[in-house]
Amino acid sequence: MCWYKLVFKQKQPIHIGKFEWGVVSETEIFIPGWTMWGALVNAYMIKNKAKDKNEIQEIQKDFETITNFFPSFDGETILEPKYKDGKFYLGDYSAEEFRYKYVKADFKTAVEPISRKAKDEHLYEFEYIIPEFYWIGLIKIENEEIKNFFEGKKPEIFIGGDTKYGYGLLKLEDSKEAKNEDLENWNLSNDGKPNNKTLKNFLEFETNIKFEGELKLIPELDFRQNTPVLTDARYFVNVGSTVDSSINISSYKIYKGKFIRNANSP
Amino acid sequence: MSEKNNVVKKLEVYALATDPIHIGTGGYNIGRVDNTIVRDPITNIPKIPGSSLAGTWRYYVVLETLKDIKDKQPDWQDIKNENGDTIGEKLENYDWKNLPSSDIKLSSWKRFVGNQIMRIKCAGQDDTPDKNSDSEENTGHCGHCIVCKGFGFSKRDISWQGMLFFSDLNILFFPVFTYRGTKWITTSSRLKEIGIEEEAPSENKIRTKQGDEGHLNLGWLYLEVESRHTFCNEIKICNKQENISFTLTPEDVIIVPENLFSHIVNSNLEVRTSVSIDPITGAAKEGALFTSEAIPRGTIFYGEIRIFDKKGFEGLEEKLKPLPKDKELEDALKDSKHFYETLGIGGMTTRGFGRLKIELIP
Ligand SMILES: [Zn+2]
Repeated sequence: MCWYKLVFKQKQPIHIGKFEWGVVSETEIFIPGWTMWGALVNAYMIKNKAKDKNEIQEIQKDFETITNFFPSFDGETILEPKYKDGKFYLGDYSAEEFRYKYVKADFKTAVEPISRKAKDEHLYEFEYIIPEFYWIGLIKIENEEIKNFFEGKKPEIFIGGDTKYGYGLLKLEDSKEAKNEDLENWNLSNDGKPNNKTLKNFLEFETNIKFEGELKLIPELDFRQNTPVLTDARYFVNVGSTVDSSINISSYKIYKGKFIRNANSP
Repeated sequence: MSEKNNVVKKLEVYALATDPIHIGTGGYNIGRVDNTIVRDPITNIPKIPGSSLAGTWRYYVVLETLKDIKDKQPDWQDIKNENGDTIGEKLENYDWKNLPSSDIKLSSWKRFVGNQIMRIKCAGQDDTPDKNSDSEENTGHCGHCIVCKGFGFSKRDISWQGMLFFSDLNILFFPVFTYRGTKWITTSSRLKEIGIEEEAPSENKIRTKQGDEGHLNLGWLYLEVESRHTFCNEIKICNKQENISFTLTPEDVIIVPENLFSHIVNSNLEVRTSVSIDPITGAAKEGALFTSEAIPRGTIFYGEIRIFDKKGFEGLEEKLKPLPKDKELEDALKDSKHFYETLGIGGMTTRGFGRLKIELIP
C-alpha cells in the first residue's frame, strides 16, 4: 500500500481562487486536489531539477493521484464536507459561518510604481483564510524519490494566489502511510475508486447518477499563458454531496481531487 | 535527479523608517481618519504589504541597472540578426558583444544577457500584456531581463511567476515616548520571529533592561515594570555608502504583552491633518480638511525575501532560458536598496513620507 496521509500546518493566510465578482476575489474554503497538485509539483521541481519536458511530465504524473485537502483544527480530524438542509457545511460550520469566522479580506489598490499613483483608482477586495488550520489529504505515491521528498526535510509549499506577497505558505507537519481506516474515512478504495458515501472529492457527472447535493462546472485551465487556456471543462457532483449506491464505481478513478471516468486517459 | 539542500535562499529584511510611512488602503474610511493605512486584519497592526515592497523594489532594480547599461544596450536589429531560433538564444549569442573591456567590471547581474533589452517599462505594470513576449515593439515587459525573470511577467504567450517571494514587513520595534525618552516596544512573539527567545510579561506589565523603574508611561498608558528582560542583541541598520548607522541597544527596548502591542501602536500612530488645495485657484478648498495616518519614523520592520532556484522549470518553457542565478538576484536587491533612502515607499512621498533604510541579511 502506498497511500500517504499528508498533514500541513498553515503558516500564512491562503487565497484559493474561486470567482471574481468585479473587484472581489472570493476564496474557496478548502484546497482542491488540482491546486494542491500544482503546489507540490512546484515545490518538488525547485528541490529536484528536471532535465527536460519528459521528466517534468513524469513528475507531474507522480503527484496526480491526490485528494482534496480539508481544514482541521487539531491535525487529526478534518472538518468534513457535507450538505445539510441544502447548505454546504465544513464540519459543524455552514459555509457562511466558516467564512464569517475564518475568512477575512484585504482591501488593496493596485499601485503603478513609476507614477506611484493608484492604478485606475482601483480598490479591490481580496479574501483569504486566516492561518488557524492544518490541512489534510491523501496522495498515492509509487516513486521512491517522491517518498523521500515527503520523508526528508519537511517541505514547505506555497498554495493558491498572491504567493509572492506573503500568502499561501504551508509546512508539512506529518506524512505517514495511510491506514485502511484513513482510506475508508476518505471514502476511497485502495486503487483510487470512490465508494458510495459522502463525496470528499468531485465526481464526474453522468445523467444516470442520483445524488443529493450540488452540481458544478469545473474548468481546468493552463495558467502558463497570460490568458489561461481552457484545457477541459466538465460537470461534477460537488464535494459533500451524497451519491446513490447504484453507480458503477469501477469506471472512476481519482485524479487531482476529481473522480474521473475512464481515468486512464483523463 | 540530484537532491540539493538549501535550494531556497532566505534573506532577512530589516527596515528603519526615516520618515513616517503611509501605505494607504485607497480611501477606505474608518471613523474620522480619511487616509487609513494597511493593517493586518487579524492583529489590526499596520504593516507594509509584501506587494508594495516587491513593486517598489522591482522599480529600483530597473533604475539601478539602466543607470549603468543604458548606453551599452545593443540595437534590436543587431539582436535580431544574431544566430538563434528564439530571442533568448539570440541574446545569449550576442552577449554584450560590443561592450568595451573597460566595462568588464560591470557586476555580473547587470550583465545578465536578458538585460540587453531591459527597458523602463519592465519596472511597472505591463501596459501591453496582450502582446507576445518576443514582440519587437518597444512596449510592456520585455520578458527577458533580470527583473522580468526575477519578479515575474505576464505576456500573451507566457506567464511566469518569478523567483522572488516577498513577505509583508511587520513592525518589530515601535517607538513610543516615555518620560525616560523614546523607547521601542516589541513582544516576545515578534522577537521569536528573529530568533530571540524571550518570555512574555504578565498581563498589563512590561519588561525593561533595567527592570526597576517601578512604573513607566508608554504614550498615555502607565504600566508597571515587572522585571528585567534578557534581550542582549543590538539591532543595527546601516548603510555602507553613506556610512550612517542606526543602533537599537537593549536599553532602548521594552517588551510588552501581546494584547497591548496593537493598542499601543494604534494609539501612537502619526495623524496629520492637511488641507486640500484646489489645483486651479491654488486656494484651500472649502471644508476640504483631511487627516492621514502613518507609521512614525523610527519604526523598525522585519520581513523575509525568498529566492527560489527555479532551474528545474527551464525545461517547461523554452522561453524562460536562461534564468538568473540566485546570487545575481540577491546582488540586484542589495545594490538597489539604497533607492528606498531617497525615493521611499508608499503614498505621499513628495510630502516627506516613506523613506526607509534597509538591511538585507542572507
Ligand atoms: Zn524586462
